Amino acid sequence: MLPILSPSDFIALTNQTLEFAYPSVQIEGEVLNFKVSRNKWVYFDIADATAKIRCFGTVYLLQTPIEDGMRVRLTAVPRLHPQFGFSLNLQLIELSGEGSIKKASDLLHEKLDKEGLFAAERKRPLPYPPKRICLITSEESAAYRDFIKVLNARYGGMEILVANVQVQGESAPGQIVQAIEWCNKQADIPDVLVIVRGGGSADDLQAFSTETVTRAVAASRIPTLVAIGHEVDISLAELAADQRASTPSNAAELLVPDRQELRRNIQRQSQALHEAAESLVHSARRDVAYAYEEMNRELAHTIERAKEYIAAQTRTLDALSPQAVLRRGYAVVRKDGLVVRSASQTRKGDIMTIQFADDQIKTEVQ
Amino acid sequence: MQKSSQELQDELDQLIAWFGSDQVDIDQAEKKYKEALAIMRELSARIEKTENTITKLKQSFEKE
Repeated sequence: MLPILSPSDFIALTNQTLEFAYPSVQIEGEVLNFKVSRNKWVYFDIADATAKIRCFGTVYLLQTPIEDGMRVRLTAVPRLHPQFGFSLNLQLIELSGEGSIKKASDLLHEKLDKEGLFAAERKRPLPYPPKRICLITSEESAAYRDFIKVLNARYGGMEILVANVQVQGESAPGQIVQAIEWCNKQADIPDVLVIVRGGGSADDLQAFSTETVTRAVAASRIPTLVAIGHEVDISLAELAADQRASTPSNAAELLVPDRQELRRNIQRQSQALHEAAESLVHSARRDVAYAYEEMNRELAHTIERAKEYIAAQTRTLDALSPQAVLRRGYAVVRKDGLVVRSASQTRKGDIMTIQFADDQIKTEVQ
Repeated sequence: MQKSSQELQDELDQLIAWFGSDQVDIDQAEKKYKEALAIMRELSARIEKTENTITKLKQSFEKE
């Protein structure tokens, strides 16, 4: 004979059976009737063409926005609730299918964009080149190898701290966020935070478009450079970063100068400096030569003026000299060597000397 | 505190620009020329440093 159970007993028995048979289930389907209650609880139905199951969980399970029509993969515990009946208690919600991932990413993009996380005015310049870099990536990845290879080839003397994290899968967002927060909490913080991951499907790259990672990148007090996937893949973390690179190799190229180019640049500057210095010396020499010429010209001019002055003075003196007077036809009469200034100074028979311009004669007074 | 390469590069650019300006004072030129040469030597030395130090962090970032 079957035991007679109360509804509560039956529910408890059913839950025991479910727990034993299905401690956890994974179900993939389409989201219907999605709603959030009091910013805390999430309700929706997971459905396929012929069936639907009620689901219940907390908003903290939502790594990306979800809306009706999106395809998700749930990890959940089946439960029979005393009042609300059968439901799946959610443990994990993952987007399934590229369409859903794209849709969720678009929704989150819109939301974070409205908050200003991607605004151009938030972008800070990266130190160029940085001395200390914190690199968040998977050490096993080709992205890590590419980044380090290009970085080493281009520039040296830097310290690179590598935070090894998973870059895809369920635990990736949490690890990436922790690594970002760890770097930001250091007393001696790195100059730049670099996050790189190679290419993959939209599902593979999903961690870098989650809300937690995007917000952590935006909140970093260390300037950020993010390169996820290939050129065409643009994650939300890249949009929130201070700078985005198209690939991990490109990230290294943006981060540091190329030593070959720097060598050429210094050679160019060295040449420019020598040319400028030579030009300065030539210019100084030219100035000295010009000053010397100018001085000589001025000296010659001064001498010429002095000569002219002396000649004029000479001419004046010449005009005033007795010789010049004699040349004009005058004569000087002397008696006994003394100039005779008056006829009264003479007597008959005196011998006088008459001085002409060219010669002198002796004569007797009568 | 050691100047960054960018700061040194900026100083070098300014010194070279000074030599090209109209206000070059021959008395200052020698001093500035020597400064520029010293910066170029320092920048060259930094460029030739080939080794980067890579430190792999030991802590796990597994979610607690």
